[in-house]
Order: sequence, then structure tokens, then C-alpha cells
Amino acid sequence: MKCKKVQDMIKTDYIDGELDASLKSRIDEHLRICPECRRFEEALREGTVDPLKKAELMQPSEAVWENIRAAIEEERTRTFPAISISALRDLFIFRKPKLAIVAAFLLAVIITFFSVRYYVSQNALEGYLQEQVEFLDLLGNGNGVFDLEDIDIGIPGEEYLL
Amino acid sequence: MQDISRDVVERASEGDIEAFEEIYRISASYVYTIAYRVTHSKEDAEEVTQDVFMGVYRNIGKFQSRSTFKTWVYRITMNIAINLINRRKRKTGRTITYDDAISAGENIYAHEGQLYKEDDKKVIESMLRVLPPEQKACIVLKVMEGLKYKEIAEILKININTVRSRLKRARERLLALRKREASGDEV
Repeated sequence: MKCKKVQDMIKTDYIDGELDASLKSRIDEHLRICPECRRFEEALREGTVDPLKKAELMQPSEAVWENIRAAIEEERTRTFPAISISALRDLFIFRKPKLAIVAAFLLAVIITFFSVRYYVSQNALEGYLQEQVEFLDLLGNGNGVFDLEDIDIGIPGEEYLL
Repeated sequence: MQDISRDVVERASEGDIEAFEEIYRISASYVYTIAYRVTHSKEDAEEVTQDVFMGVYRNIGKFQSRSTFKTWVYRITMNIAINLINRRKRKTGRTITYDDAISAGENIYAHEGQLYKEDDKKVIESMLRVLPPEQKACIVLKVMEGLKYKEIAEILKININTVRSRLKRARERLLALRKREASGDEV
């Protein structure tokens, strides 16, 4: 193996331990017999790798976490209404159309039933009240004329009195 | 960085703040260290760390286990850190030239005999300062974080041969600085 190729490999895969075993042993063998490549390998390791390996892990200040936590809390508060709106929107999205049609039909029937019932009962009440007012009027408030004949009791007056 | 368990990730994605804090406690120092190595500023590293974890918080639900959580966090960190220094560079209109690199590098090897007596932190910082961001990212992930080429390629979303060539160019640059300084001493 030529020195240039060996040195190129030393600069990357060899020094970084990325070579497979057979290629690594070939380079090791070359380094044993080639002083120039050996010096190159030592200079590279001492000058570009070893000092950087002494780097220590650094710790950020506790304020960094406090800031992150505060930012998360703020973001959560801001996103809460958005979540509610999306939940409400989901409420009106029907994922099963057939079911939705049946539900809408049933709802229409129920609404119609109660509306009609209410309308009928309102009319009946109004009719009854009207009758009572007219009856009281007839009972003689001084101005009205009371006559048995005017009262509809379902049977003729004579029969009733007999 | 140790990887985060699936259970913790799931709980955090459901909004469990304690699970999210657990993720932070495990990975914050790695994120901060990488950010510092790339930006060379404690304030910027803290800003990057904060942005990284807000990014993790917002997107943890979208995290898919195709890659490990560790790789995902490293990728976010590198993106944010490199974007920050590129943004700063555009603002100041200043890019690192080779001569800048040489002059910055002079501090590293100025006193050969004293090199390893110097504060390690300063040496490391001086070495990284002379590298362009893309090469620096590869060096930090490989030498300092001990990741495999495949993982680096995944984090930086580049081809594995690009990882190789960036590492090669970074080391050639550092060696060239050393040689130039050595020949300067002889004059």
C-alpha cells in the first residue's frame, strides 16, 4: 500500500476506528515498516485528536431550565383555547354519514312533535279562556243580558228544567 | 449521551412535564456543550439550549423511532447552533478566511513545549475556532461525542463520504496550522 493512500486513511477511518479488522491490520503492518507514516500518524493524533478528547462536559445554568419551563407554561396557556375550539369543531364533524342522517331525521321528528303539541295546547287554552270571559260577561255585570237561551249547555233549556 | 427510554418520550409527548424535565436533565449538558463548541459563547450556547428544548417540546409528538432520540436531539442542536452562527456572520458580513484561521491558530502552537501545559479549554476552543461550522460540527460529533460516521451522517443529513471529507479537511487544516507555526518558529 502506498504512503499517500495510507495517510489518507489515517486522517479519517483509521484514526476514528471506523476501519474493518483486515484493513486496519494492513495499515498497522505498514506503520510498523514505514517511519514517515508512523510520524504522520503520531503528529495527527497529538495535534488534532488528543487535545479535543480532553474536552469536558459543560453544564448550563439552572436559569436555562427555568426559562424553558416558563416558556412551556406560557405556551400551554396560549394553546388551551385552540384546543377547545378544535374539540368543538370535532363535535360537528360526522364520521358516519348514515348515522348522521338518521340522527337528523329523529331530531326533526321530535322537534315537530313537541312544536305541534305546544301549538295545540296553546289554542285550547286560549279557547277556554275566551269562553270563560264571555260566560262571566253574560252572568250579568249590569250591562249584559242574561238569558238561559244564550247558554249552550248541550241540551235545550226546557228539557233541562223538566 | 445516554439514550432516553421510549416510556419517558411517550409520557413527555402526552404533556407530562416531569418526563420532559427528565429528558432535559439527561441531555442538557450534551446539548449545551455542543452548542458552546460550535458558537464559542456561553450566552449563545444557553440560547441554543433553550431553543433546542423548546423545539423538542413542540415536536416530540412527531418524533418517530426511525432514529434514536439521541440522534434526533443532536440533529436539532446542530441545526440551531449552525444557523445561529451563520445568522451572526451574515449580520456582521464577516466570514472566516484562511488567514483568520492561521492567526487564530497561532495561539495554539505558539509555544510547542507549553502546549499541553496550557489550559485544555483554551486549546480546545482555539482549535475549534479555526474550523468552518460544517467541519467543526463533524469534529465535535466524532472526536468529542464519539459518534460513528453513520450517526453523524444521519444527524447532519449528509452523505457518509461527506462526513469523511469534512473530517479530512478539518484535520488537514489543523495540521497545516501546526506546520506553518513550526516553520515560523524556525525563522
